[in-house]
Amino acid sequence: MIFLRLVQNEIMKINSKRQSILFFSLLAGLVLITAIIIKAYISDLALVMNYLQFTMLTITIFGFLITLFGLILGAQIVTDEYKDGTIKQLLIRPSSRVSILFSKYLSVLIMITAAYFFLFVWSSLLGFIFFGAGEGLASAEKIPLLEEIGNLTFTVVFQFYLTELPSLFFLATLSFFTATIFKRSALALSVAIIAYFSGKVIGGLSQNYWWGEYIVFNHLPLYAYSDSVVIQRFSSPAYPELGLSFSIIILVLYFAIMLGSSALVFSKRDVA
Amino acid sequence: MSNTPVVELRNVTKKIKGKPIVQHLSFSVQRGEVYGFLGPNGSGKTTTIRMIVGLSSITEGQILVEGHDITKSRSQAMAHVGAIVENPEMYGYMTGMQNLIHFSRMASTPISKERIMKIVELVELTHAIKQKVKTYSLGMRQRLGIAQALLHSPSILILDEPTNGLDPSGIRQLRDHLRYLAKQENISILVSSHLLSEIELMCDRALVIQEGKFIDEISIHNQPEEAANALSVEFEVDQAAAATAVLQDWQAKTGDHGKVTIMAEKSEIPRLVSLLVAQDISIYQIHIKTESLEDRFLALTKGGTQS
Ligand SMILES: Nc1ncnc2c1ncn2[C@@H]1O[C@H](COP(=O)(O)OP(=O)(O)O)[C@@H](O)[C@H]1O
Ligand SMILES: [Mg+2]
Repeated sequence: MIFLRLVQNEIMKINSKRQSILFFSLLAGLVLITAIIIKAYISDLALVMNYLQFTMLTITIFGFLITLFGLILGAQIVTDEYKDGTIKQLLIRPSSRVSILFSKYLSVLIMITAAYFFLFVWSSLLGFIFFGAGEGLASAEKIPLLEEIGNLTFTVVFQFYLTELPSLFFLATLSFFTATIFKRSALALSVAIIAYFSGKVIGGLSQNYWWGEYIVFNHLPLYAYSDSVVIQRFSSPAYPELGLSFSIIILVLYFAIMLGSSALVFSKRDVA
Repeated sequence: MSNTPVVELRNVTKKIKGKPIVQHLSFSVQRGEVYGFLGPNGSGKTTTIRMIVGLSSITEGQILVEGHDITKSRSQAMAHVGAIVENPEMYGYMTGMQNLIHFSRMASTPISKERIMKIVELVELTHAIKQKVKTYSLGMRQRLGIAQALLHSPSILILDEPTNGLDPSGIRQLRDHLRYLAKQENISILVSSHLLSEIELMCDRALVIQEGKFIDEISIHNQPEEAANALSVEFEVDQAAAATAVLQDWQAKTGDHGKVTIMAEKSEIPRLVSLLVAQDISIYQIHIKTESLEDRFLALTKGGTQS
Protein backbone atom coordinates (compact mmCIF):
# COMPACT_ATOMS: atom_id res chain seq x y z
CA MET A 1 0.00 0.00 0.00
CA ILE A 2 1.62 3.21 -1.17
CA PHE A 3 -0.36 5.29 1.35
CA LEU A 4 1.23 3.46 4.26
CA ARG A 5 4.65 4.08 2.74
CA LEU A 6 3.81 7.78 2.63
CA VAL A 7 2.91 7.69 6.32
CA GLN A 8 6.15 5.85 7.03
CA ASN A 9 8.01 8.66 5.26
CA GLU A 10 6.30 11.38 7.24
CA ILE A 11 7.05 9.67 10.53
CA MET A 12 10.67 9.19 9.49
CA LYS A 13 10.91 12.93 8.75
CA ILE A 14 9.28 13.94 12.05
CA ASN A 15 11.58 11.69 14.02
CA SER A 16 14.71 12.83 12.19
CA LYS A 17 14.14 16.43 13.26
CA ARG A 18 15.96 17.65 16.30
CA GLN A 19 12.81 19.09 17.86
CA SER A 20 11.15 15.66 18.09
CA ILE A 21 14.15 14.06 19.75
CA LEU A 22 14.32 17.05 22.07
CA PHE A 23 10.63 16.80 22.93
CA PHE A 24 10.71 13.13 23.84
CA SER A 25 13.89 13.56 25.88
CA LEU A 26 12.39 16.54 27.69
CA LEU A 27 9.20 14.64 28.48
CA ALA A 28 11.15 11.64 29.73
CA GLY A 29 13.43 13.84 31.82
CA LEU A 30 10.61 15.83 33.39
CA VAL A 31 8.74 12.71 34.45
CA LEU A 32 11.89 11.32 36.00
CA ILE A 33 12.55 14.57 37.87
CA THR A 34 8.96 14.63 39.13
CA ALA A 35 9.33 11.11 40.48
CA ILE A 36 12.60 11.98 42.18
CA ILE A 37 11.23 15.16 43.73
CA ILE A 38 8.18 13.40 45.13
CA LYS A 39 10.24 10.53 46.46
CA ALA A 40 12.90 12.75 48.02
CA TYR A 41 11.02 15.81 49.23
CA ILE A 42 7.30 15.00 49.48
CA SER A 43 7.58 11.83 51.48
CA ASP A 44 3.99 12.06 52.80
CA LEU A 45 2.74 11.78 49.26
CA ALA A 46 5.32 9.21 48.27
CA LEU A 47 4.18 6.92 51.06
CA VAL A 48 0.55 6.79 49.98
CA MET A 49 1.10 6.88 46.21
CA ASN A 50 1.27 3.98 43.80
CA TYR A 51 2.20 3.87 40.10
CA LEU A 52 -1.35 4.56 38.93
CA GLN A 53 -1.64 7.78 40.85
CA PHE A 54 1.76 8.82 39.63
CA THR A 55 0.70 8.18 36.04
CA MET A 56 -2.46 10.26 36.59
CA LEU A 57 -0.34 13.03 38.03
CA THR A 58 2.12 13.20 35.13
CA ILE A 59 -0.54 13.59 32.50
CA THR A 60 -2.20 16.31 34.53
CA ILE A 61 1.07 18.19 34.78
CA PHE A 62 2.65 17.47 31.39
CA GLY A 63 -0.35 16.93 29.13
CA PHE A 64 -0.01 20.51 27.87
CA LEU A 65 3.47 19.69 26.54
CA ILE A 66 2.01 16.99 24.33
CA THR A 67 -0.68 19.45 23.24
CA LEU A 68 1.98 21.96 22.29
CA PHE A 69 3.98 19.28 20.45
CA GLY A 70 0.87 18.20 18.54
CA LEU A 71 -0.02 21.76 17.56
CA ILE A 72 3.52 22.47 16.38
CA LEU A 73 3.54 19.27 14.32
CA GLY A 74 0.20 20.15 12.78
CA ALA A 75 1.41 23.65 11.96
CA GLN A 76 4.73 22.54 10.50
CA ILE A 77 4.18 19.29 8.68
CA VAL A 78 2.93 21.01 5.53
CA THR A 79 4.53 24.45 5.87
CA ASP A 80 8.05 23.07 6.43
CA GLU A 81 7.90 21.44 3.00
CA TYR A 82 7.08 24.82 1.48
CA LYS A 83 9.76 26.54 3.55
CA ASP A 84 12.45 24.03 2.51
CA GLY A 85 11.23 23.86 -1.09
CA THR A 86 10.87 20.09 -0.77
CA ILE A 87 7.15 20.37 -1.49
CA LYS A 88 8.08 20.24 -5.19
CA GLN A 89 9.89 16.96 -4.67
CA LEU A 90 6.79 15.51 -3.01
CA LEU A 91 4.23 16.61 -5.55
CA ILE A 92 5.95 15.39 -8.72
CA ARG A 93 5.33 11.74 -7.77
CA PRO A 94 2.59 9.35 -8.80
CA SER A 95 0.71 9.79 -5.49
CA SER A 96 -2.17 12.24 -5.60
CA ARG A 97 -1.90 15.43 -3.63
CA VAL A 98 -4.82 14.43 -1.44
CA SER A 99 -3.12 11.20 -0.38
CA ILE A 100 0.09 13.08 0.38
CA LEU A 101 -1.84 15.59 2.49
CA PHE A 102 -3.72 12.89 4.39
CA SER A 103 -0.57 10.88 4.99
CA LYS A 104 0.79 13.98 6.71
CA TYR A 105 -2.38 14.45 8.73
CA LEU A 106 -2.50 10.84 9.81
CA SER A 107 1.17 11.02 10.83
CA VAL A 108 0.43 13.96 13.14
CA LEU A 109 -2.35 11.98 14.84
CA ILE A 110 -0.10 8.94 15.13
CA MET A 111 2.68 11.00 16.70
CA ILE A 112 0.29 12.58 19.21
CA THR A 113 -1.04 9.18 20.17
CA ALA A 114 2.50 7.85 20.39
CA ALA A 115 3.48 10.71 22.68
CA TYR A 116 0.60 9.90 25.04
CA PHE A 117 1.44 6.24 24.92
CA PHE A 118 5.06 7.06 25.68
CA LEU A 119 4.07 9.24 28.64
CA PHE A 120 1.75 6.52 29.91
CA VAL A 121 4.28 3.71 29.66
CA TRP A 122 7.22 5.74 30.95
CA SER A 123 5.21 7.15 33.89
CA SER A 124 3.87 3.73 34.81
CA LEU A 125 7.35 2.28 34.68
CA LEU A 126 8.94 5.01 36.79
CA GLY A 127 5.89 5.03 39.07
CA PHE A 128 6.29 1.32 39.62
CA ILE A 129 10.00 1.65 40.36
CA PHE A 130 9.62 4.62 42.70
CA PHE A 131 6.23 4.00 44.31
CA GLY A 132 5.34 0.39 43.64
CA ALA A 133 1.94 -1.13 42.97
CA GLY A 134 0.68 -1.08 46.53
CA GLU A 135 -2.52 0.24 48.07
CA GLY A 136 -1.73 3.88 47.45
CA LEU A 137 -4.30 6.40 48.57
CA ALA A 138 -7.00 3.76 49.03
CA SER A 139 -6.98 4.27 52.75
CA ALA A 140 -7.54 8.02 52.38
CA GLU A 141 -10.68 9.81 53.55
CA LYS A 142 -14.01 8.71 52.23
CA ILE A 143 -14.63 11.74 50.04
CA PRO A 144 -16.17 10.47 46.75
CA LEU A 145 -13.50 11.87 44.41
CA LEU A 146 -10.59 10.97 46.62
CA GLU A 147 -12.05 7.58 47.08
CA GLU A 148 -12.08 7.01 43.39
CA ILE A 149 -8.60 8.35 42.95
CA GLY A 150 -7.56 6.11 45.79
CA ASN A 151 -9.09 3.11 44.09
CA LEU A 152 -7.73 3.92 40.65
CA THR A 153 -7.57 0.96 38.36
CA PHE A 154 -5.33 0.49 35.38
CA THR A 155 -8.37 0.71 33.08
CA VAL A 156 -9.50 4.04 34.50
CA VAL A 157 -6.04 5.58 34.12
CA PHE A 158 -5.75 4.25 30.59
CA GLN A 159 -9.16 5.66 29.71
CA PHE A 160 -8.17 8.96 31.24
CA TYR A 161 -5.27 9.11 28.79
CA LEU A 162 -7.43 8.05 25.85
CA THR A 163 -10.10 10.65 26.58
CA GLU A 164 -7.51 13.40 26.30
CA LEU A 165 -7.17 12.57 22.62
CA PRO A 166 -10.36 13.95 21.00
CA SER A 167 -9.75 17.57 22.09
CA LEU A 168 -6.13 17.35 21.14
CA PHE A 169 -6.95 15.81 17.77
CA PHE A 170 -9.35 18.69 17.21
CA LEU A 171 -6.77 21.35 18.05
CA ALA A 172 -4.10 19.65 15.95
CA THR A 173 -6.55 19.44 13.06
CA LEU A 174 -7.33 23.14 13.47
CA SER A 175 -3.60 23.89 13.38
CA PHE A 176 -3.05 21.62 10.37
CA PHE A 177 -6.01 23.15 8.52
CA THR A 178 -4.94 26.75 9.14
CA ALA A 179 -1.35 25.97 8.15
CA THR A 180 -2.40 24.21 4.94
CA ILE A 181 -4.76 26.98 3.87
CA PHE A 182 -2.52 29.94 4.69
CA LYS A 183 0.93 28.33 4.46
CA ARG A 184 1.86 30.15 7.70
CA SER A 185 2.97 27.99 10.60
CA ALA A 186 3.11 30.85 13.11
CA LEU A 187 -0.46 31.84 12.31
CA ALA A 188 -1.63 28.24 12.57
CA LEU A 189 0.06 27.76 15.91
CA SER A 190 -1.43 31.01 17.25
CA VAL A 191 -4.95 30.12 16.14
CA ALA A 192 -4.71 26.68 17.74
CA ILE A 193 -3.23 27.99 20.99
CA ILE A 194 -5.91 30.67 21.24
CA ALA A 195 -8.52 27.99 20.69
CA TYR A 196 -6.83 25.87 23.36
CA PHE A 197 -6.97 28.60 25.98
CA SER A 198 -10.25 30.28 25.12
CA GLY A 199 -12.28 27.30 23.90
CA LYS A 200 -14.11 26.85 27.20
CA VAL A 201 -14.91 30.56 27.47
CA ILE A 202 -16.14 30.81 23.89
CA GLY A 203 -18.23 27.71 24.46
CA GLY A 204 -19.66 29.07 27.70
CA LEU A 205 -20.61 32.43 26.18
CA SER A 206 -22.19 30.83 23.14
CA GLN A 207 -24.49 28.83 25.34
CA ASN A 208 -26.54 32.02 25.81
CA TYR A 209 -27.60 31.84 22.18
CA TRP A 210 -29.57 29.33 20.14
CA TRP A 211 -26.52 28.49 18.01
CA GLY A 212 -24.45 27.55 21.03
CA GLU A 213 -25.33 23.93 20.50
CA TYR A 214 -23.46 23.99 17.18
CA ILE A 215 -20.27 25.36 18.69
CA VAL A 216 -17.59 22.68 18.77
CA PHE A 217 -16.19 23.73 22.14
CA ASN A 218 -19.45 22.76 23.82
CA HIS A 219 -19.02 19.22 22.56
CA LEU A 220 -15.28 18.68 22.74
CA PRO A 221 -15.11 17.40 26.31
CA LEU A 222 -16.57 14.05 25.35
CA TYR A 223 -15.29 12.72 28.67
CA ALA A 224 -18.02 14.73 30.36
CA TYR A 225 -20.40 11.92 29.39
CA SER A 226 -18.38 9.38 31.38
CA ASP A 227 -19.77 7.73 34.51
CA SER A 228 -16.42 7.90 36.24
CA VAL A 229 -15.81 10.97 38.39
CA VAL A 230 -12.13 10.82 37.52
CA ILE A 231 -12.61 10.66 33.78
CA GLN A 232 -15.24 13.44 33.86
CA ARG A 233 -12.62 15.85 35.21
CA PHE A 234 -15.33 17.75 37.15
CA SER A 235 -17.20 18.65 33.99
CA SER A 236 -20.66 17.87 32.77
CA PRO A 237 -22.02 17.95 29.21
CA ALA A 238 -23.04 21.43 28.01
CA TYR A 239 -26.22 20.04 26.44
CA PRO A 240 -26.96 16.82 28.28
CA GLU A 241 -30.36 16.53 26.57
CA LEU A 242 -28.69 16.36 23.10
CA GLY A 243 -26.60 13.38 24.09
CA LEU A 244 -23.26 11.85 23.21
CA SER A 245 -24.18 10.96 19.64
CA PHE A 246 -25.11 14.58 18.87
CA SER A 247 -21.77 15.75 20.22
CA ILE A 248 -19.98 13.17 18.08
CA ILE A 249 -21.88 14.28 14.98
CA ILE A 250 -20.90 17.91 15.60
CA LEU A 251 -17.26 16.91 16.03
CA VAL A 252 -17.28 14.81 12.88
CA LEU A 253 -18.78 17.75 10.98
CA TYR A 254 -16.08 20.15 12.15
CA PHE A 255 -13.34 17.65 11.27
CA ALA A 256 -14.88 16.97 7.86
CA ILE A 257 -15.14 20.67 7.00
CA MET A 258 -11.56 21.40 8.04
CA LEU A 259 -10.08 18.38 6.28
CA GLY A 260 -12.28 18.74 3.21
CA SER A 261 -11.33 22.36 2.64
CA SER A 262 -7.65 21.63 3.31
CA ALA A 263 -7.71 18.90 0.69
CA LEU A 264 -9.55 21.10 -1.78
CA VAL A 265 -7.13 24.02 -1.44
CA PHE A 266 -4.03 21.82 -1.35
CA SER A 267 -4.94 19.86 -4.44
CA LYS A 268 -5.86 22.90 -6.53
CA ARG A 269 -3.05 25.25 -5.63
CA ASP A 270 -0.16 25.93 -8.01
CA VAL A 271 3.19 25.30 -6.38
CA ALA A 272 5.77 27.94 -7.13
CA MET B 1 10.73 0.97 -28.83
CA SER B 2 7.67 2.86 -29.94
CA ASN B 3 7.78 6.13 -31.79
CA THR B 4 5.52 8.03 -29.42
CA PRO B 5 7.39 11.02 -28.04
CA VAL B 6 8.37 10.68 -24.39
CA VAL B 7 6.95 14.11 -23.64
CA GLU B 8 4.60 16.05 -25.84
CA LEU B 9 3.15 19.52 -25.32
CA ARG B 10 0.17 20.40 -27.46
CA ASN B 11 -0.67 24.05 -27.73
CA VAL B 12 -0.06 24.71 -24.06
CA THR B 13 -0.95 28.04 -22.53
CA LYS B 14 -0.52 29.19 -18.94
CA LYS B 15 -2.13 32.31 -17.60
CA ILE B 16 -1.49 33.59 -14.09
CA LYS B 17 -4.11 36.08 -12.94
CA GLY B 18 -5.13 36.62 -16.54
CA LYS B 19 -1.59 37.39 -17.65
CA PRO B 20 -0.27 34.96 -20.27
CA ILE B 21 3.09 33.53 -19.15
CA VAL B 22 3.32 30.72 -21.68
CA GLN B 23 1.46 30.89 -24.97
CA HIS B 24 0.48 28.15 -27.41
CA LEU B 25 3.63 26.15 -26.86
CA SER B 26 4.01 22.83 -28.70
CA PHE B 27 7.03 20.57 -28.77
CA SER B 28 8.00 16.99 -28.21
CA VAL B 29 10.98 15.18 -26.77
CA GLN B 30 11.94 11.96 -28.54
CA ARG B 31 13.24 8.82 -26.90
CA GLY B 32 16.91 8.93 -25.94
CA GLU B 33 17.60 12.53 -26.92
CA VAL B 34 18.89 15.39 -24.83
CA TYR B 35 16.50 18.21 -25.53
CA GLY B 36 17.33 21.77 -24.65
CA PHE B 37 14.91 24.41 -23.50
CA LEU B 38 16.47 27.77 -24.12
CA GLY B 39 15.24 31.24 -23.32
CA PRO B 40 16.30 34.36 -21.45
CA ASN B 41 15.43 34.72 -17.77
CA GLY B 42 11.72 35.22 -17.25
CA SER B 43 10.80 33.67 -20.59
CA GLY B 44 8.64 30.96 -19.01
CA LYS B 45 10.91 27.92 -18.85
CA THR B 46 10.26 27.12 -15.20
CA THR B 47 6.55 27.78 -15.63
CA THR B 48 6.45 25.28 -18.51
CA ILE B 49 8.40 22.68 -16.54
CA ARG B 50 6.09 23.15 -13.54
CA MET B 51 3.16 22.29 -15.78
CA ILE B 52 4.91 19.20 -17.17
CA VAL B 53 5.61 17.81 -13.69
CA GLY B 54 2.15 18.65 -12.39
CA LEU B 55 3.13 21.40 -9.95
CA SER B 56 0.89 23.91 -11.64
CA SER B 57 -2.29 23.67 -13.62
CA ILE B 58 -2.52 24.01 -17.40
CA THR B 59 -4.75 26.87 -18.55
CA GLU B 60 -5.18 25.54 -22.08
CA GLY B 61 -3.78 22.68 -24.11
CA GLN B 62 -2.57 19.24 -23.24
CA ILE B 63 0.61 17.59 -21.98
CA LEU B 64 1.34 13.91 -22.56
CA VAL B 65 4.05 11.82 -20.92
CA GLU B 66 4.52 8.42 -22.54
CA GLY B 67 1.12 8.99 -24.10
CA HIS B 68 -0.64 9.60 -20.76
CA ASP B 69 -2.44 12.90 -20.35
CA ILE B 70 -0.95 14.38 -17.18
CA THR B 71 -4.24 15.83 -15.97
CA LYS B 72 -6.36 12.77 -16.71
CA SER B 73 -3.90 9.99 -15.80
CA ARG B 74 -1.53 11.80 -13.53
CA SER B 75 -0.32 8.73 -11.69
CA GLN B 76 0.68 6.80 -14.85
CA ALA B 77 2.28 9.88 -16.37
CA MET B 78 4.31 10.80 -13.28
CA ALA B 79 5.60 7.25 -12.90
CA HIS B 80 7.78 8.01 -15.96
CA VAL B 81 9.03 11.41 -14.84
CA GLY B 82 12.12 12.24 -12.81
CA ALA B 83 12.81 15.90 -12.19
CA ILE B 84 14.59 18.64 -10.34
CA VAL B 85 12.63 21.87 -10.53
CA GLU B 86 14.95 24.81 -9.94
CA ASN B 87 17.18 23.99 -6.93
CA PRO B 88 17.86 20.43 -5.81
CA GLU B 89 16.04 20.77 -2.48
CA MET B 90 16.40 17.80 -0.16
CA TYR B 91 15.82 17.14 3.52
CA GLY B 92 18.98 18.53 5.08
CA TYR B 93 18.31 16.95 8.46
CA MET B 94 18.40 13.44 6.99
CA THR B 95 21.26 11.55 5.39
CA GLY B 96 21.59 11.18 1.64
CA MET B 97 20.51 7.57 2.01
CA GLN B 98 17.43 8.46 4.06
CA ASN B 99 16.48 10.98 1.40
CA LEU B 100 16.74 8.34 -1.30
CA ILE B 101 14.79 5.81 0.75
CA HIS B 102 12.14 8.48 1.28
CA PHE B 103 11.75 9.10 -2.45
CA SER B 104 11.99 5.43 -3.34
CA ARG B 105 8.95 4.78 -1.16
CA MET B 106 6.97 7.23 -3.26
CA ALA B 107 7.51 5.30 -6.49
CA SER B 108 4.62 3.35 -7.93
CA THR B 109 6.64 0.14 -8.07
CA PRO B 110 8.94 -0.99 -5.26
CA ILE B 111 12.62 -0.06 -5.59
CA SER B 112 15.25 -2.44 -4.30
CA LYS B 113 18.21 -1.55 -2.06
CA GLU B 114 20.48 -2.73 -4.87
CA ARG B 115 18.91 -0.27 -7.27
CA ILE B 116 19.44 2.56 -4.78
CA MET B 117 23.08 1.58 -4.31
CA LYS B 118 23.61 1.34 -8.05
CA ILE B 119 22.30 4.87 -8.56
CA VAL B 120 24.40 6.18 -5.67
CA GLU B 121 27.44 4.74 -7.38
CA LEU B 122 26.37 6.18 -10.71
CA VAL B 123 26.27 9.72 -9.30
CA GLU B 124 29.45 9.11 -7.32
CA LEU B 125 28.07 9.73 -3.86
CA THR B 126 28.96 6.41 -2.23
CA HIS B 127 31.47 8.04 0.13
CA ALA B 128 28.99 10.65 1.45
CA ILE B 129 25.69 8.83 1.37
CA LYS B 130 25.59 8.28 5.15
CA GLN B 131 26.18 11.97 5.90
CA LYS B 132 23.43 14.49 6.58
CA VAL B 133 22.54 16.36 3.44
CA LYS B 134 23.03 19.75 5.14
CA THR B 135 26.78 19.01 5.02
CA TYR B 136 26.74 18.53 1.23
CA SER B 137 28.21 20.96 -1.28
CA LEU B 138 25.96 22.29 -4.03
CA GLY B 139 27.49 19.90 -6.53
CA MET B 140 26.79 16.95 -4.22
CA ARG B 141 23.23 18.10 -3.68
CA GLN B 142 22.85 18.38 -7.41
CA ARG B 143 24.01 14.78 -7.81
CA LEU B 144 21.75 13.59 -5.01
CA GLY B 145 18.93 15.40 -6.78
CA ILE B 146 19.74 13.55 -9.96
CA ALA B 147 19.89 10.28 -8.01
CA GLN B 148 16.40 10.75 -6.57
CA ALA B 149 15.13 11.63 -10.02
CA LEU B 150 16.58 8.44 -11.51
CA LEU B 151 15.61 5.93 -8.80
CA HIS B 152 12.43 4.75 -10.45
CA SER B 153 14.00 4.45 -13.94
CA PRO B 154 11.98 7.25 -15.52
CA SER B 155 11.87 7.64 -19.28
CA ILE B 156 12.36 11.40 -18.98
CA LEU B 157 14.68 13.33 -16.72
CA ILE B 158 13.76 17.00 -16.41
CA LEU B 159 16.34 19.45 -15.13
CA ASP B 160 15.60 23.14 -14.72
CA GLU B 161 18.75 25.24 -15.06
CA PRO B 162 20.88 22.47 -13.54
CA THR B 163 24.12 24.43 -13.89
CA ASN B 164 22.95 27.39 -11.81
CA GLY B 165 25.47 28.07 -9.09
CA LEU B 166 27.98 25.48 -10.28
CA ASP B 167 31.52 26.51 -11.14
CA PRO B 168 32.92 25.73 -14.62
CA SER B 169 34.42 22.41 -13.59
CA GLY B 170 31.15 21.47 -11.88
CA ILE B 171 29.31 22.32 -15.07
CA ARG B 172 31.67 20.18 -17.12
CA GLN B 173 31.22 17.28 -14.70
CA LEU B 174 27.46 17.62 -14.79
CA ARG B 175 27.42 17.72 -18.56
CA ASP B 176 29.56 14.59 -18.85
CA HIS B 177 27.36 12.94 -16.26
CA LEU B 178 24.18 13.70 -18.13
CA ARG B 179 25.56 12.43 -21.41
CA TYR B 180 26.74 9.28 -19.66
CA LEU B 181 23.39 8.82 -17.91
CA ALA B 182 21.44 9.31 -21.09
CA LYS B 183 23.38 6.38 -22.53
CA GLN B 184 23.54 4.19 -19.40
CA GLU B 185 19.92 4.59 -18.39
CA ASN B 186 18.62 5.04 -21.92
CA ILE B 187 16.46 8.00 -21.01
CA SER B 188 15.52 11.29 -22.58
CA ILE B 189 16.64 14.45 -20.86
CA LEU B 190 14.92 17.83 -20.97
CA VAL B 191 17.24 20.52 -19.74
CA SER B 192 16.52 24.23 -19.53
CA SER B 193 19.02 27.05 -19.52
CA HIS B 194 19.31 30.72 -20.32
CA LEU B 195 22.83 30.14 -21.61
CA LEU B 196 23.20 29.00 -25.15
CA SER B 197 26.75 27.75 -24.59
CA GLU B 198 25.45 25.17 -22.12
CA ILE B 199 22.64 24.00 -24.33
CA GLU B 200 25.11 23.76 -27.18
CA LEU B 201 27.35 21.48 -25.12
CA MET B 202 24.67 19.23 -23.73
CA CYS B 203 21.84 18.91 -26.21
CA ASP B 204 20.93 17.31 -29.50
CA ARG B 205 18.05 19.65 -30.21
CA ALA B 206 16.73 22.71 -28.49
CA LEU B 207 13.61 24.79 -28.32
CA VAL B 208 14.04 28.53 -28.15
CA ILE B 209 11.35 30.57 -26.41
CA GLN B 210 10.96 34.19 -25.52
CA GLU B 211 8.20 35.83 -23.51
CA GLY B 212 6.49 32.46 -23.31
CA LYS B 213 6.30 32.07 -27.08
CA PHE B 214 7.87 29.63 -29.49
CA ILE B 215 10.71 31.24 -31.43
CA ASP B 216 12.54 28.36 -33.07
CA GLU B 217 13.57 24.77 -32.73
CA ILE B 218 17.23 24.20 -33.48
CA SER B 219 19.19 21.06 -34.26
CA ILE B 220 22.58 21.47 -32.67
CA HIS B 221 24.76 18.79 -34.16
CA ASN B 222 23.53 19.47 -37.70
CA GLN B 223 24.58 23.07 -37.42
CA PRO B 224 28.00 22.95 -39.19
CA GLU B 225 26.61 20.91 -42.11
CA GLU B 226 23.65 23.21 -42.60
CA ALA B 227 25.93 26.20 -42.78
CA ALA B 228 28.36 24.43 -45.14
CA ASN B 229 26.99 25.83 -48.38
CA ALA B 230 26.68 29.42 -47.22
CA LEU B 231 29.95 30.27 -45.49
CA SER B 232 30.78 33.79 -44.62
CA VAL B 233 34.46 34.34 -45.52
CA GLU B 234 36.51 37.29 -44.39
CA PHE B 235 39.63 38.41 -46.32
CA GLU B 236 42.17 40.81 -44.95
CA VAL B 237 43.90 42.55 -47.89
CA ASP B 238 45.95 45.64 -48.66
CA GLN B 239 43.42 47.13 -51.13
CA ALA B 240 39.94 46.54 -49.76
CA ALA B 241 38.13 48.55 -52.42
CA ALA B 242 39.80 46.72 -55.29
CA ALA B 243 39.14 43.34 -53.69
CA THR B 244 35.48 44.23 -53.20
CA ALA B 245 35.21 45.01 -56.91
CA VAL B 246 36.85 41.71 -57.88
CA LEU B 247 34.59 39.71 -55.58
CA GLN B 248 31.34 41.53 -56.22
CA ASP B 249 29.68 38.37 -57.59
CA TRP B 250 30.07 36.90 -54.10
CA GLN B 251 28.19 39.73 -52.34
CA ALA B 252 31.41 41.34 -51.18
CA LYS B 253 31.16 43.93 -48.40
CA THR B 254 33.98 46.25 -47.40
CA GLY B 255 34.77 46.39 -43.72
CA ASP B 256 37.31 48.27 -41.56
CA HIS B 257 41.07 47.73 -41.67
CA GLY B 258 41.18 46.23 -45.15
CA LYS B 259 38.59 43.56 -44.41
CA VAL B 260 36.24 42.24 -47.08
CA THR B 261 33.47 39.80 -46.26
CA ILE B 262 31.88 37.59 -48.89
CA MET B 263 29.53 34.61 -49.06
CA ALA B 264 31.04 31.58 -50.74
CA GLU B 265 31.38 27.82 -50.57
CA LYS B 266 34.51 26.40 -49.06
CA SER B 267 35.57 24.76 -52.34
CA GLU B 268 35.58 28.16 -54.08
CA ILE B 269 38.14 29.75 -51.76
CA PRO B 270 41.31 28.69 -53.71
CA ARG B 271 39.82 30.19 -56.90
CA LEU B 272 39.00 33.44 -55.13
CA VAL B 273 42.56 33.63 -53.83
CA SER B 274 43.89 33.21 -57.40
CA LEU B 275 41.56 36.00 -58.62
CA LEU B 276 42.84 38.41 -55.99
CA VAL B 277 46.48 37.48 -56.54
CA ALA B 278 46.00 37.97 -60.30
CA GLN B 279 45.00 41.60 -59.52
CA ASP B 280 48.14 42.10 -57.41
CA ILE B 281 46.15 42.31 -54.23
CA SER B 282 48.09 41.04 -51.20
CA ILE B 283 46.24 38.73 -48.82
CA TYR B 284 47.24 38.80 -45.16
CA GLN B 285 44.58 36.56 -43.71
CA ILE B 286 41.53 34.48 -44.66
CA HIS B 287 38.98 33.66 -41.99
CA ILE B 288 35.88 31.50 -42.26
CA LYS B 289 33.18 32.93 -40.03
CA THR B 290 30.90 30.01 -39.15
CA GLU B 291 27.82 31.73 -37.90
CA SER B 292 27.81 30.65 -34.27
CA LEU B 293 24.75 29.43 -32.48
CA GLU B 294 25.28 32.34 -30.15
CA ASP B 295 24.72 34.75 -33.04
CA ARG B 296 21.64 32.87 -34.11
CA PHE B 297 20.28 32.81 -30.58
CA LEU B 298 20.86 36.53 -30.17
CA ALA B 299 19.33 37.20 -33.57
CA LEU B 300 16.34 35.01 -32.76
CA THR B 301 15.67 36.62 -29.41
CA LYS B 302 16.55 40.07 -30.75
CA GLY B 303 19.43 40.46 -28.38
CA GLY B 304 17.57 38.85 -25.52
CA THR B 305 15.69 40.78 -22.88
CA GLN B 306 17.52 40.74 -19.58
CA SER B 307 19.47 37.49 -19.80
N1 LIG C 1 3.28 32.90 -9.60
C1 LIG C 1 3.51 33.87 -10.50
N2 LIG C 1 2.76 34.99 -10.50
C2 LIG C 1 2.98 35.97 -11.40
N3 LIG C 1 3.92 35.93 -12.35
C3 LIG C 1 4.70 34.85 -12.41
C4 LIG C 1 4.54 33.76 -11.49
N4 LIG C 1 5.44 32.82 -11.79
C5 LIG C 1 6.15 33.29 -12.84
N5 LIG C 1 5.70 34.51 -13.21
C6 LIG C 1 6.22 35.32 -14.33
O1 LIG C 1 6.28 34.50 -15.46
C7 LIG C 1 7.42 34.80 -16.23
C8 LIG C 1 8.19 33.54 -16.52
O2 LIG C 1 8.79 33.07 -15.36
P1 LIG C 1 9.64 31.74 -15.34
O3 LIG C 1 8.83 30.63 -15.89
O4 LIG C 1 10.16 31.57 -13.97
O5 LIG C 1 10.82 32.08 -16.34
P2 LIG C 1 12.23 31.37 -16.56
O6 LIG C 1 12.22 30.08 -15.81
O7 LIG C 1 12.32 31.17 -18.03
O8 LIG C 1 13.26 32.30 -16.06
C9 LIG C 1 8.21 35.84 -15.45
O9 LIG C 1 7.96 37.09 -16.03
C10 LIG C 1 7.64 35.77 -14.07
O10 LIG C 1 7.66 37.03 -13.47
MG1 LIG D 1 13.57 29.47 -14.28
